[in-house]
Amino acid sequence: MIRRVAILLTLLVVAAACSNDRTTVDVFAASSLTDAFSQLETRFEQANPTVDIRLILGGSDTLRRQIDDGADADVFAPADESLLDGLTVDGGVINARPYATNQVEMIANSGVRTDGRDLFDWTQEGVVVARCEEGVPCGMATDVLLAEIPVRLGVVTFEPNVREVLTKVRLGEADAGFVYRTDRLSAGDDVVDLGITSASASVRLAVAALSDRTEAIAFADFVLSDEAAAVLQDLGFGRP
Amino acid sequence: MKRRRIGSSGLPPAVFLFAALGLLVLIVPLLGLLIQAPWSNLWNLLSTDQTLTAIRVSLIVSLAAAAGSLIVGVPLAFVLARVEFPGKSILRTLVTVPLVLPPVVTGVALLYGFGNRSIFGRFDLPFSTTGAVLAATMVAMPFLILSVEGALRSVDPRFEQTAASLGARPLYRWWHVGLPMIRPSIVAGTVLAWARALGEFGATITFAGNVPGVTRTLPLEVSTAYTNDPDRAVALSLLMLAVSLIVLISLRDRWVPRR
Repeated sequence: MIRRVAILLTLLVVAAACSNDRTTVDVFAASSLTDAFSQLETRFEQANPTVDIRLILGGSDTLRRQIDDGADADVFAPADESLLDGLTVDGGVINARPYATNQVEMIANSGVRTDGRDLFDWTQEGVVVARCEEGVPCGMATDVLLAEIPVRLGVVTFEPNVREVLTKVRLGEADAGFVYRTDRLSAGDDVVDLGITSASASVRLAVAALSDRTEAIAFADFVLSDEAAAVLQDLGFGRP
Repeated sequence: MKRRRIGSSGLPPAVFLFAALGLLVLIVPLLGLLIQAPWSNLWNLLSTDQTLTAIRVSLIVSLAAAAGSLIVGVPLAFVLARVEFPGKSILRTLVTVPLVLPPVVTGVALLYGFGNRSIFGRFDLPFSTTGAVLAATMVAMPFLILSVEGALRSVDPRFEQTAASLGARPLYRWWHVGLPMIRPSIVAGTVLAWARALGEFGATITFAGNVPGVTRTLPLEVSTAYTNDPDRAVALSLLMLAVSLIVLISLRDRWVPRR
């Protein structure tokens, strides 16, 4: 029995090792880039069939910490360029290039009645507002927005990344939330725009290759290409 | 079959080698945490209002979850151990599913069962302390059920039958004969359930969110602190490690019988 399991495991490992003869490029991208980078991945892989882009999505802060702790990222695309500060590759400073902007907006679940409601008052009993936790890019932009536009909040849940905020508002578990413009657009009719936003509550997205492998640099270049810009614009990103 | 033996244990050397590897896996992370902890600043990091609030929420949530598990888990264990009915094996499997289910899946399931958009009605549970208690109870109760059910299997039901033949009514003999005979397992199961509830993270953040002072328990505080203030995250981790050790030491007589 043990022998059979051992043989099976060996076969699995061998199969896993053989099945992929393409070069893998590990792209660490902010969760707010989920849709954008999935599309960029498909396009890049179609043009470069020998490259396998592997997207590692998560909160920008978490990804940065993983990179600082030694994770082998080939490309890093956080939700704000500030998270590329101080990163080095093989002793050299990396070349961080901005390619898009995004802006935090307040949205509500489409089931929430917005007519005749004070959009700046969310303190009623049973009303929950979701936002990103402090310290992550969308959380910092949300803080900027709230400092500028005094929206009164009651129960607030601090989510680890912007996608969790979006999901909670989409499902109607939270009544309203603060997400990026692109997240609002990706949710379609599930959510409504409350028109509460500010140009200063924005982030500038930048990308950098963290390894000197040709494929890594090629993908970072692709993110800055006109083709990628068109994809990003369709999703609602701004130009830097 | 004869083998070379180390010392008086009679175990082959290979066993010691793999045992040492196992020990490394279990102990290296904890050593890393202990060595790099901000010891000199520990008290300041732990006595902030934020930390104290998280401790309060954690105590309320975990104690309520342990109590909830106790009140409904013990009767459920009795039914599973003593009553025969069709589909019982399926039910027993379902009851223990949260033991192996990733907690985040438990959280998603809770949203669909008890969320604001649940097909069963609106309960106003997400983002409330009650919601956090429910999430913790769901992951913790199976520990208690397994512990109690296991004990019931090794108890001779004739004691209760004797009590019945002497005229004891069902509730009386359950309370005065059935329960006291498995008291150690109930205590151990409740403590284990409490410890599991105290450490619960995935189901809580998915179902009850991360609301400061309401559902932000210690594990959620650790995760939140880790993005802004890693030192505080480590200090909180040490606190949880200390609690875990106390729980395990208090249960030691049960799980590791003294010689």
